[in-house]
Amino acid sequence: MLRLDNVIFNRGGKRILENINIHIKKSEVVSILGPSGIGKTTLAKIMSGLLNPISGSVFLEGNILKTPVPTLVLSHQESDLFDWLTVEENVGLVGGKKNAEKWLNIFGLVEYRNNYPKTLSGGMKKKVSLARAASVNPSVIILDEPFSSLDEKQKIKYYKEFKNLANQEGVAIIVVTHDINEAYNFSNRIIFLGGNPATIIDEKIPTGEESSSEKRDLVLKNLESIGK
Amino acid sequence: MIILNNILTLFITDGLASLSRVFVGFFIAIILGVGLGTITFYIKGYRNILKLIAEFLKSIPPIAWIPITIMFLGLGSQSAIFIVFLGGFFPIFLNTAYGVTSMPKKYTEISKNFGVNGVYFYHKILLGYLMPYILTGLKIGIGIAWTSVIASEMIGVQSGLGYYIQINRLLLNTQEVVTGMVMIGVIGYGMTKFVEKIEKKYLVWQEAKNA
Repeated sequence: MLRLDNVIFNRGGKRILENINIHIKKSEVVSILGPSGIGKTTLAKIMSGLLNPISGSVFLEGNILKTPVPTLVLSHQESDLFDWLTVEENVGLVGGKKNAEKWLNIFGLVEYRNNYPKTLSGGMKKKVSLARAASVNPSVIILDEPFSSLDEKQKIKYYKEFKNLANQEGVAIIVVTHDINEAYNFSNRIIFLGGNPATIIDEKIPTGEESSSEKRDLVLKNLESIGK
Repeated sequence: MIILNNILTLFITDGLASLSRVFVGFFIAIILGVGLGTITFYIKGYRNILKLIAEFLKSIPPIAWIPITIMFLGLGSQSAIFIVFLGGFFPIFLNTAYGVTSMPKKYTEISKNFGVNGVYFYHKILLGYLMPYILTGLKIGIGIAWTSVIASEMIGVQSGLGYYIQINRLLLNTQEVVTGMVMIGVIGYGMTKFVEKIEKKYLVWQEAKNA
């Protein structure tokens, strides 16, 4: 569904990403895990077509991706709602009122339809953002640090929502995170980003039985790889 | 009763004459100020030079433009309207252009991502984001526009509240001068309140408190 072939990216003459090869399949929930500042957001922007690699290619459903398309939605790290639009207008940004109605119902947002984002909690904002992403029927949704402003309860609720999207709508979900526990708890596959410049250093399928020490070792390995 | 009648007559004759000039001049200022201000979003390379020119021209008070305006446009309403336009244009343009500069990149990225572009982007996203800046410009501009019309009427027009005050000054009618001044104050205050009302209506999302 989404494929990155030998992606290389430079910023200000400095290499940020080196030989990134990723293949994401339909209905998968994949975490891209790496320490802060390594270039995860840059990678998310490359995957969504907002940035173009200096070498290598991004393919979405077999077609080369060079500009953003609504079939692949990137949900930004901080609140990415339009503050001057109501919840309904945000969700119906592309599909209009009728389409918004459907997704407001699915995400349980009907009673907040006339609220402005500033009146919502961090968790609710994420929910609206996800509803808006889902409203354009994308094949891939990339969530950049989606749990950063959520408490444990909200994290689980939010996870259930995007898990449903993956299972029921066949959407591939990519979670970009720095938190190893989140990656283990909320994804089917984890891709480890490390090194300087960043590259893929490991890949794991969570079994749900990993010990804390095992996870800690992975974090240390990850940190060593970037020389911190 | 006679006083009230005089005030009403003054409003209908000179008050409305001043107001109509402000209406026309300020309307043009809004159209061009917001239009050019938002255009700076699309011409990033020229944004700073345009702002620099506007900042420079803004430093020249509208009153200082009166002589040259009369030289080119002659005596009459057209000159007063032009002065009103100058008074309103620069704050509106500059505030809009500063809003454009402050617009977070994420909003354009999200719009691109969702395929929101063209007129829809301009109306729904760009104008939506810029509305607080535009309304601040309007609030500053309307005050300057009002003082500008009074000043220009004192010099180059034969009607309006500025003219009324000026002619009564020459006739040493202190009471009429003061009445004219009070009316200027009342109308000016009314216009500022009107813009504030619009601001409240359109910026309701800004006042919303975090849950």
